[in-house]
Amino acid sequence: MSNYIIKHAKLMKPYLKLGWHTWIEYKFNFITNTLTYAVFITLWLVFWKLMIGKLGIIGGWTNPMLTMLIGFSFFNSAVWQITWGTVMFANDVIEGKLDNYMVRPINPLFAMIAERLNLASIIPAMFGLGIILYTVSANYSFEILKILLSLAITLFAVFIIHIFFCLAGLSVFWFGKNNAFKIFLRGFNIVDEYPITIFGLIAVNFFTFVMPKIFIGTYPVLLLTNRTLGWGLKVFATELTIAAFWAVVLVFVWKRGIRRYESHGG
Amino acid sequence: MAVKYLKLFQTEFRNLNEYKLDFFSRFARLFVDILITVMIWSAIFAVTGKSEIAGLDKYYFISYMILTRIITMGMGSWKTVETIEQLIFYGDLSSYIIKPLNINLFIFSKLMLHYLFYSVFGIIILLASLPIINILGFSIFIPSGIYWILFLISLFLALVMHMIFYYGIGLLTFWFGRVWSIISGVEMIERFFSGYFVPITISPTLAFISGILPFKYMLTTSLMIYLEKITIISAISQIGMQLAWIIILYAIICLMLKKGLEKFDSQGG
Repeated sequence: MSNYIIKHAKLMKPYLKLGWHTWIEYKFNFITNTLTYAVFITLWLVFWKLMIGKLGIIGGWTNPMLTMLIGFSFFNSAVWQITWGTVMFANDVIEGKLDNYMVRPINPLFAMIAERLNLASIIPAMFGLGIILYTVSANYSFEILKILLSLAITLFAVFIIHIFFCLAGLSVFWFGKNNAFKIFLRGFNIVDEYPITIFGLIAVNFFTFVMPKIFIGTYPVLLLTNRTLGWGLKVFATELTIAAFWAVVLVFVWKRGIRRYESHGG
Repeated sequence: MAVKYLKLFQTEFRNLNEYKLDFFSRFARLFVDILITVMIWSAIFAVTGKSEIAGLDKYYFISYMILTRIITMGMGSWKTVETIEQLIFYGDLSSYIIKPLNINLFIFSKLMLHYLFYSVFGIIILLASLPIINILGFSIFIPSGIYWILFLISLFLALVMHMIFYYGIGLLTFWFGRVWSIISGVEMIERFFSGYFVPITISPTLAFISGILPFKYMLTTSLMIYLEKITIISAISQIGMQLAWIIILYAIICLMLKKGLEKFDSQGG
């Protein structure tokens, strides 16, 4: 097992090199992608500033908390963009390219993500991280363990989102070329910039266990502002359990789906 | 001549119908989008204890937010920009330039079906599902006769305006190559100032900035007419503003197309 992990860690070097070359090749896209994030973050911060200005504290959520929520949301989104390869999974199946991953002694999911690393999103990820760190240091006590745990929670949320996109991609084995499940999944993105705990209990449970969006920003912000490290560890343990459950579902669906796969050529 | 563009319209309808699962998933997504939006704003009204936000009480506010989701489902900014970008970037435009076609009308015919179909079909679904919505404990504002007519006119103009605006963004391909990477940013600005996230009346500054930009007329105008929040005279004047913006934007894209074609080159035939 350790050899397997070391081998994949070593493989990261050429993949990072490839990602770097792609990054510097498409300069216009890099600039516009960074500007797009800047626009998104600015307008969402203005939105919450307006809302707080008109409505006051929203269900216990203050302006610094909502600012951090935006930071986490866009940090999460940028990290997801860096590792966006799972979105292309369905295309690889349709075009018979899955062989490229399966004939090599590496993990197909790892290869799919690593070959398409979008390093241009590192800068937007830094924007998000900067907002989080600045807001914490300006308004709350700066506890390094809590910060690391909150980042771990949001990073595992990226992992869960990848599992969902892989599951959506696997639908091509049964339904042929389609974007239906991806389109449906994106419908839930709307909650990423809102504090989920202001919703009712049913919605909170739904966004914790079924569509685990609450780990993207809501729980990390609560951990950094008014919850204990112990509470954060419980949240993280819950998230790991949920991630493990969906990973098992993914492996199961993958095994069923791959039997239906037909490739063309070599 | 109209028959020629109608044929294009029919071809696009067949394309629209090709991937049925994708087609139905858009409506499934709309359902999720509406459900979450209603949940968010119901929660915000409940936790803040406010009786009105941006000059709209909960009943009008929820109706407003639901309508934004339905109308914008048809507003295919990505589809519009990608269509133009592909025509220019891959040189396909050359095969249309040599045909006896008005290039603008050709592209409008290709795109307008998407705009009209999803928005109008979305409204029909909304009306058809009113009894279910009522059973779930919600109610949506339905306008009276004259406002319905004004709303439909305004909606049509808003869709045309939106299409022309993103057509212009797509034409930037002449100068910048691929432009898909700016769509999200432009769309975010457009949505923010059009009143998609929250009615622009929430802040006088926001309302003022939106008033001098075209985006307000792509969404807020139609919605305020639908909700009967403006008088008939004011609604007609707003429709006039939409027409004026369409003329301005159309003049801009004609100029861009002319200048762009001077730069355009494609190999082969």
